[in-house]
Parts: sequence; structure tokens; C-alpha cells
Amino acid sequence: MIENGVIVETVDLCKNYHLGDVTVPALQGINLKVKKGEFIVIMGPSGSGKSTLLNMIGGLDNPTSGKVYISGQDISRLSDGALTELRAQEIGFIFQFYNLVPVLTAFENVELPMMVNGISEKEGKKRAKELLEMVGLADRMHHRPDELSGGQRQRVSIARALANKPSIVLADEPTGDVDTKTGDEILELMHDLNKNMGVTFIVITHDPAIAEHCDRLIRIIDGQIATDKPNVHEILSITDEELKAFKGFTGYISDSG
Amino acid sequence: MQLETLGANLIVLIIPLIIGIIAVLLWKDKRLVKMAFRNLRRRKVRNFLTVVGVMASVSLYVAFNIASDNTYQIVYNLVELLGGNVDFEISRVDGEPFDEDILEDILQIEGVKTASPRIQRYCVIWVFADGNSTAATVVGIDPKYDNEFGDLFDYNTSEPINDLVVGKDAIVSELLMEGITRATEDGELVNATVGDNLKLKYRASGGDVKTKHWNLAAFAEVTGKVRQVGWGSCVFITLDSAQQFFPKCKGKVDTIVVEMDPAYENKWQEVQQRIKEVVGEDLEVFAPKQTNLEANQAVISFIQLGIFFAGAATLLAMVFLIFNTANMTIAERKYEIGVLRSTGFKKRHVFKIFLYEILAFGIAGSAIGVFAGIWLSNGLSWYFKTLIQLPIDVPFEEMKGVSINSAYLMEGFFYGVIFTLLGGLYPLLSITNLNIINALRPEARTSEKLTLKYRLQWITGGSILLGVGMSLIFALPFVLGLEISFLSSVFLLMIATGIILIVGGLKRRYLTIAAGVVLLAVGLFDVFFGGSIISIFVLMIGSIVFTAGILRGVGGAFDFIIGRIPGLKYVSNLASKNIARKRTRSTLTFGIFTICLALVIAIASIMTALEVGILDFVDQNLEGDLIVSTNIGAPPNLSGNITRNIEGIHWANTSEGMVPACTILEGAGARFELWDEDYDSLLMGINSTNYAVVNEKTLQPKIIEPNDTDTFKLFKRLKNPHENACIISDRLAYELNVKVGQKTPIKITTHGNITEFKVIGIMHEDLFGYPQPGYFCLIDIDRFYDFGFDKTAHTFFIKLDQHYMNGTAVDPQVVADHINERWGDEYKLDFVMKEDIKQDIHEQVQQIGAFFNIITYSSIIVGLLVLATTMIKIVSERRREIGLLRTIGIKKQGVIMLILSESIFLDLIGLLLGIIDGYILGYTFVQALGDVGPMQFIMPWDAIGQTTVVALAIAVIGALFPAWKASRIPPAESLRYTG
Repeated sequence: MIENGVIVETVDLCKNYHLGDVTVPALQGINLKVKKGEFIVIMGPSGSGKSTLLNMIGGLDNPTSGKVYISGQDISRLSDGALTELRAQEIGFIFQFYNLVPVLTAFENVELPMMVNGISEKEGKKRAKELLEMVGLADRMHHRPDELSGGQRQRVSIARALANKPSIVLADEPTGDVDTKTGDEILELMHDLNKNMGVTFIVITHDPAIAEHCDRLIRIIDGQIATDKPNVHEILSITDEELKAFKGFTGYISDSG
Repeated sequence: MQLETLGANLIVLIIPLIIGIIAVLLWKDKRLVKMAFRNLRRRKVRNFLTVVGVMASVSLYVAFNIASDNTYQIVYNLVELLGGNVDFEISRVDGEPFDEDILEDILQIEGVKTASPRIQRYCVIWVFADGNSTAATVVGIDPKYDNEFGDLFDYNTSEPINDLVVGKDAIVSELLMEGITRATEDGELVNATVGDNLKLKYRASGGDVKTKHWNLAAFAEVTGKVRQVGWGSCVFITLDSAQQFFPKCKGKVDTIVVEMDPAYENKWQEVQQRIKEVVGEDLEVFAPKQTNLEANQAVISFIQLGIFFAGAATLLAMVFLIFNTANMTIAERKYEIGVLRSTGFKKRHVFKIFLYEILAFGIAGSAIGVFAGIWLSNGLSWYFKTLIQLPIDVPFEEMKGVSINSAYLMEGFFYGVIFTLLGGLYPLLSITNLNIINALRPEARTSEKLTLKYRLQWITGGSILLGVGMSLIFALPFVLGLEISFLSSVFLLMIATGIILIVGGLKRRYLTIAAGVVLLAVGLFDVFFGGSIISIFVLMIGSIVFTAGILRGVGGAFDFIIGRIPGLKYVSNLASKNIARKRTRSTLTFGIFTICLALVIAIASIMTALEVGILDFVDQNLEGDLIVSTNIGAPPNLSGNITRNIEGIHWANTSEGMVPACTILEGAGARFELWDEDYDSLLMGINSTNYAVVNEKTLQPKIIEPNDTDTFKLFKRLKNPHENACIISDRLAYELNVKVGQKTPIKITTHGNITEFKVIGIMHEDLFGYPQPGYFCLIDIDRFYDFGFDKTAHTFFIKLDQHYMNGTAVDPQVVADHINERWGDEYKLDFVMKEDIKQDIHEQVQQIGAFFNIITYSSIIVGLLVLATTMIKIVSERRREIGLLRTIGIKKQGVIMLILSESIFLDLIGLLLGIIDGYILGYTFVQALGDVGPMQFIMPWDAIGQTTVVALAIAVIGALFPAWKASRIPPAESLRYTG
């Protein structure tokens, strides 16, 4: 159940990775709230824990400690089967390298999540067609991924992410593997979907252009939230002292929204 | 030198050469070898499975060949045993009895060892003679034929006797089994009494019926024992008695069985021809043993061929396994190859690294496989030997351990290494064509379209092959007049290859389908018009290639069927598309199953046909309805005794032929030998030169050995009423100048007692092969050894009278009980009915079939390894995809279902093709076997059912662990996988 419009919440979220005898803390006490319909961008240097945070939110991995709430439900205690169902129904994923099934056409890739979710074949085909038209691939829907350009593949990925009408879309570097122009198109598409369909987007990116259009920009450094600002303009005004003060920080800065 | 021997010798010579070359190459490339071994330490499980696969293939190949050699001898002996030692059977064309006289002529034929009649109950005549005139006549009468007995012959002249020169006339009108009667003038039958005149009609030579008269001098006892055969007497006794006490009596027989001298075994047709010339056109001469041995030799050869192909299939499976492994390894390490190349390694260096890895599989697997093969062959041969256990204890040739032909060991190692290299050849060659940039890019496409240059090359090459093949196949017979049946398969393949290359050059997309269609056409053509084993395999390969070409359609059908099941639509959709996409790998996987399962089904159908054929063969050729065996041995004439004394017997024969036994003693100047304590007769061989002045008829009594009480007692035990009587051979009688009724100069002394013997009968010395039971018989020492009286028989075949007593068949158990009652304790007899043997053979054929199933199913083990490595590879390369599927909502069970369904799908294709190909293979085999024996193809539904279960089990077993592992990987980790 969504309380106060918060659709995603993390409480003292920690994740450690064990590499031999070394323990690497990927996330150190992340506290985050995301409201329904927000377009959140998460930025940070490589290895800061962005993708780890996204995986926690998406239920793809289990936290070492802390909690993750999706629509008010603590998903950190769910079984693997329940998590899978949650992903199928509530969460859509967009990956940097598309992760399309190579043997399926664009149409079939978009149809696949609906098949898994038990949607009828007729309904699934209808929706897949609509989604592909929506992302501008009406004339390429029966081509396989290796017959599509990078931008087209990412559009298919977006359409697939929306197949089961998720409430949340998690995007990990959605423009990372395409050229600037295509990236802009992708960004515009995501923005349109966010505004028109009210889907909450949480996007990880290095691309400042994406950050320009977000509702909130969260910056993660060394597994901790360094800043959590409403839009990109404010991030540009952060001082060195503020930045330095973030070293050793364990809580989160309250949102300004 | 035969081709096989030459090949084996070449292999023996080449192997050390190859090992030497390899050793030199390895020493030169130490650095690359080290890298190869370091790489082998990665992917331990897969590499271990690959070595196990090579080992399994080589060991099975070695074991099959060794076991095949050893089982051949066992089966051969079994076949020979069932047929007995009867080489030829002589009978009339119309089945009627014929004169036994022909027997003596047959015995004179070069190559004939023994000949004996199957005794029938007809009139016989027995003649005693001393060389000068007829001494006495014993006439054995079968009351059923009292007016049609054969001619009386004078022994010496062999002329028919028209008038008896001695004796008084007698009249007899009817002869009963138990006595002699005469008719009164009123026609009343009264018992004849001594002094009566008896009249006997007989048919003389020329066919005239004549009447002879004799005065009844004495009655014979009911049992037929002759009290005295006086000079000039004619004694009438029943035929039974005559046969009992004078078994070597001439008469009519329905069949004469002949045993050939083993030295003439390879010239049996010549011996058969000589017999035919002697017996004339009215008699047929069959060679049942040779015919059946030839038929069964063909069967044995086909079984050996089947075993050979099972061994070849395992080697072929190994090629697939290595191809698969090498392909996967190279695909996985493409990036590594790109790095090596970009850092300065040349193509040949990279090639060698992978070559040495593959070679390591081959050498390690083959070496272990050879030793495993020896061990396995012992087990297989022992198992097969225990299957061949007849219910009768017959001492046929035992297999003294397993004889191991070292050529098979060499071949196994050689083929193991060579086939391993063959399997890795294509993947290795692909390394040389790898573009460095493409290799370094993670998701680069590697398939490139054929350039125009390559297409032209394909078309040109194909046209040349097509032209040459067609010219040879059509032109050669006309131009050179050659028979090209053997080469036609080769030329057809040339034509096929040519067509395939042309199609491939024109449109590569249709290459696979075209290849499949052409191979199917060639195979079908050759099967129907040639029928060689090669054509069947071409057909099998064609079916596999064709299916590979239409794999997408097959996948669509699978998706259509399985997708109907609720919740499995996405599984079937993904599985079918994944199978179709990786065509080469999918084809290799289902292809190996096709070949293995086809062999299983083919062998099952062949075994079914063989069982029917063997049972028919046993029915037709097993001597008799009842088989009597003895471990301790019995005199061969027991068969004669059985025939004479037991009711319901048509004939009896021994596996050693009709050689009689006799009791003989050892002694100076003579030789006596004892048979056993209960004697049939006592035969003494006499060296007539021990006796002085025999030619001048001056008799000097001689005292001869033995000189002990026990031996003397033998004479007392002779079962005849004439004490101190003897029967003497005609030659000896002449030399010693004795006549019937006189005492012989031969005396036996023991403890000072001298016993003289009175001659009661003189017999032609040839006839002492069947000495008079219960009598003391004298014969010249030279002839003594001719009769082989030391023989014993262990097996007796008895044919029952099927129309005995009002047309009812005889119960074999009743007959067995009667025989056992009389001789069972003495000779420790065992009895087996023919029907029991057939049942035992049925069960043993079933077990033999199971034995072959073990062989063929074991080749499926290699298929299982291929499947397992394939599924491991599938999971490995699709890790990210699996992570994605988990991300979009497919649960762990769904992932397992997906992997399993791909495995089952591949398996089902292999199963269906295997059933079809197995049917064709089995049908062709059985039809070919039918040329030499009664064979009938029967669809092996049992085997198909078993094979289906096994195939599905393999599909699940091979994929279960990889599927389970794949489902366990956290999605986040899978998505991070970069391959």
C-alpha cells in the first residue's frame, strides 16, 4: 500500500560483497524515499553502488541488512518466487546493453513478459503492438535484435519494460551504449512515458543530459547518498566544503521535495 | 595378404611413428604445450567429461571387437552341436525305404568316415558263412512283411540263393511273433512241432515269388535266443530278435546318415558329389550340417557386423563429442584468442595451443580406454558365455579365457587419437579464420556471407564432382565393361556432393536442406538397388542433415504442440527458437542420439527375427524329439538298444555316429578289452601267426593269456546260453581251419584251467563292427583296431514315432521314463525334450538380445555426455539471458523447465529419427539375413518403448544439473556476466 505517495523506500540499506577474504561494502546505510510518478536520476562514480542500489530496489539481489519497501511492502523478506512475481507485475527494467532475447523478434520480446504474467495471447499481442508503435517501431516489430540498431533495441527494451504496466521502471544506463542523438531520443521517450503514463522512473546514468530533466538527482559516493537534490541546477551549486563533509557520512540528506 | 591384415600391420607400424612425431612436436613447442595444459585445468568438469567420453568410446570399440571374436567361436560350436555330427543324409526322393546294401559302397567313398542306417522294421536276412558254403541261415521275419522279405544272399558270391543247399524243406503258412504255426490240409492253423515241414514264400532276385520248404528242426525260444546254429540249419526267428542279437543285419532303411572325415571339411561338396554318384538318382543326398553352418555363419557374420557398427557408432559419437567441446571452448575463448593474436601470437601458435588441448583428450582418453576395453571385454565375453548354456551337459569346446587380439588394442588407441583430432578439425580451422577485431568485441556477429569468390569455387567444385561422378557411373560399364557395384556407392556420393556444393554456392540458405535431400535420395536409391550397409548409413546421415535443414519448421511444430499446455507457451516458444538458432550444435546433439537409438532399434528387430529363425532352425534340424545325455559315456550302440527295446521310437542316433561298442580284453598275442562289467560281447583279436602251420591246416593248440581269475570270469558273464561258445570271423576261421560246431584251437587258461571254445557261428569280419551281443567273438588282430571300439557316446538323439498305436503320438516323458528305468542308473542319463530346448533357446536369445542391448545402450552413454556438455554450454552462454528472464518474471522452475524442454526437444528429434532409421536399418538387415535362412522382420515395439523411456531419461538427466544450477544464480549476478 502506498503511504504518502511513497512508492519506493529503503531504510538503512546495506550490501556487502565478499571477494575472497575481502569484504567490500557496496551500500552503507542508504535511506531513500521515492514518490509515485517521480523521475529520479542516480549518479555517481564507477563502483559507488548505483547499480547495487538499483538491484536492491528491483529485488534482483538481497540486502545484507536494511529494508526495501515497494508500494509499502517489505520485499527484503519475500521469497524468490514472490520477488519474481513482484518484478513481473510491478517493476520494469531497462538495461544498458538492452538484454533482449536474441532469438525472438522485437514483437516477441515485448510479448514475453505478458506471456509470463499470464496475460491472454490476444491481449498480449495487442498490447505489444501498441507499445512498439508508441516507441516508434511499428515498422520494425518483426525484426530480431541483431537486425536493429542500438537505439531501436533500446526502444524495444523500453517497450518490454512497460509490457505489464509496471508502477516502477528501473533503468541502468539506458543511453550508455548509444550515440548522443539516439540517447536524446531515448531520454525524451522516457520522459514522455513518465509524464503521460505516470510511471515512476529511477534512472542510473553518467549522462548529464538525463540529469537535466529529472525531478530529483541523487548522488551516491562510496555506497552512501551524498546529495539528494530536486533538480540538476542545484547540484551544480554544491560547494567543495559540502562535498568534503560527505566523507564518512552515514545517513541521508532529507529530500527537498 | 588380406586387406585387414595389411591394415592392422600398417597401424602397428604407423603408431610408433606418429607417437615419435608428436613427441618431437611437443618438445619443440614446450611453451605452447604448457599453455595448453594450463588451459585444461580450467573447466575441469567439462574436460573430465570429455576425456571420459573418449575413454568410453575407445573402450567400447576395443571390447566389442574382442568380445565379437570370442563369441563367434561359441556360437559356431553351438550351431554345430545342434546339428549333431551328421554331415550327410541319404534318403529316397519319394521317402520310401531302400536297401541297406548301399551302405558298404558308401563306406568305401573317399572322405566318408562312418555311415549308419536308421533302423527300420523290415524283413532282414542274416547269413552265416564259412567261406565255402552256406553254413547256416538265420532268417529274421517281420510278420507285417511276411510275404515280402528280401532276397537270400550267399555271403561269398553275393548271388541270390535260389535253393538252400542244406536243410530240409519246411512248410509254413503263417508266422506269428511268438512262434511258428502251420496250416493243416483243412486250412486250420495249428502250432508247428518239431519234424514238421514248413514252407516259406520269398521273393527272389528278379521279383519272382518262390516257395521254399524246410523241416522244422527246433524251436527258437520266445526271447529269440538261439540255442544252436547247426551246420546247414535254417533258423527262423522274429525280426526283433534278429536285430537284437544280430544287429548288423541287412535290411531296408529310410535314411542313412554319414559322418565325414574332418580332413575333408573344406571339400564337403566333392564328398557329397561322390556319394551322389554312388547312390544313384533315386536317392537324395542332403548336407544339413553344412547348409545350416553356412546359414548360421552368415547370421554370425551379421551379428559381428552389428557389433562392429556399434563400435563404429561409439567412435562417431566421440567425434561429435570432441567437435562439440572444441566448438564450445573456442567460442567461449574467442576474446582470449583475440587478445593472444593482438599481443603477437601468430595464427599457427593459437592453432597449436588448441590442437594440443584436443590431443591431450585423445591420448589420455584412448590410453585409459584401451585398458578399460580389455577389462570390459572379459566381462562381455564371460557374460555371453554364460548365456550359451544348453540344458544338456554336452562337452562342446570351452572358451579358455578371452583371447585378446593386440591389433584391436592398437586400433582402439589409434582410432581414438585420430577420431579425436578429426572431431576437433573444423573448430581448429575456424581459429585460423578468426578476425581479431571481431574476437575482441563481446557481441560481434561472426557469421559472414560467402563472397562471390567462394561461391564460384563451390559451384565449380560441385560441377566437377557431379560431372565426374555421372561419367563414371554410366560410362564405365560401357567403356570398360567393369562391374561397378561396389564403387557405385562412391560415385553416387560424388554426384551427391557435387549437387550439394552447387546448391550451396547458389543459395547458401538452402544448403542444408539440399544436402539432406540429396543424401536421402542417394541412400534410398542404394538401399533399394544395392542394399549395402554404407547406403543405410548414408540414409541415416541424410535424414539427420535434412532435419537440420528444416529445424525451424520442426521447432515450430514442437512449439505448436507444447504451447497448448497452459503456462508453457513461453517455454516452448523460447526452446524451439533457441534450438533452431544454434543449428550446428543442435544437429550434432540430436544426430548422435539418432544414430545410437537407430542401432538399438535395429539390433532389437534383428534379434527378434533371429529368434524366430533360430527356433525354426532348431525345429527342423535338431536331431530327434528327445535328447538323452550322459556325462560318463555310454556305448554308442545304446541307441540301437533303445530303438529295439523301447516302444514308440522311430529311430535313435548318437552324436558320435553309429559306432558300436564291444568288450575287448588285453592279452599276449591278442588283445582283449573290457567295456564294462555288464558286457554286450567279448571280442578277442587273434594274431593268427601265433599259431603254427595254420595254412597246412595242422592245428596246434595254443595257450594264451590272460591268466587271472577276474578276466576269466568275464567269460562267465557273457549273456548267452552257450557256455564256452564263440563266434569267429571268416578269415580267422579259414586260417585256423575251423568250422561251425568244431572247437577252436584258441584256449584260455587261468590258474591252470584250460577252457576250450566251440565255434557256434562264423561271421564276415567286416561285420564285427557290430559283434554279437553276449558272445565271445574272435577276429584277426589286424582288423581288431579298425573298428574303433574305444568310442563312447555322450548324447543320443531319439525321434519318436508320431503315429504310434492308432495314430496317437508318443509322450516323450513316457519314453524317457522307460529308458531311464532300464539304463538310467547304469549310464547316469539325463533327458531333455526338444520343446524344452526350444523354450531354453527362446530365453537365451532373449538374454543375448539383452546383451546386445547393453552394447548398444552403452554407446548412448557417449550421447549422454554430448548432451550434458551441450546443456552446460547453453547455460553458460545464456547466463545473461537467464538473468533477464528472471528479471521479467520467470521463476526458477520456469528456467529449469526451459532448459529441460530444450534437452527433451533435441532428444525427441533424435528419438523419432532414430525409430525411423532403426526401422529401415533393421528391415534391410533382416531381409539380407533372409537370403540364407528363415528370417522375418517384426516391428520391435518393446524396444521402441524402452528406447523412448531411456531417451527421455537421458534428456532429463543430461540437462537437470545444468538447469538447476542456472536457476540458482541470482539475477543480478547473471546480468553482470560478460561471458
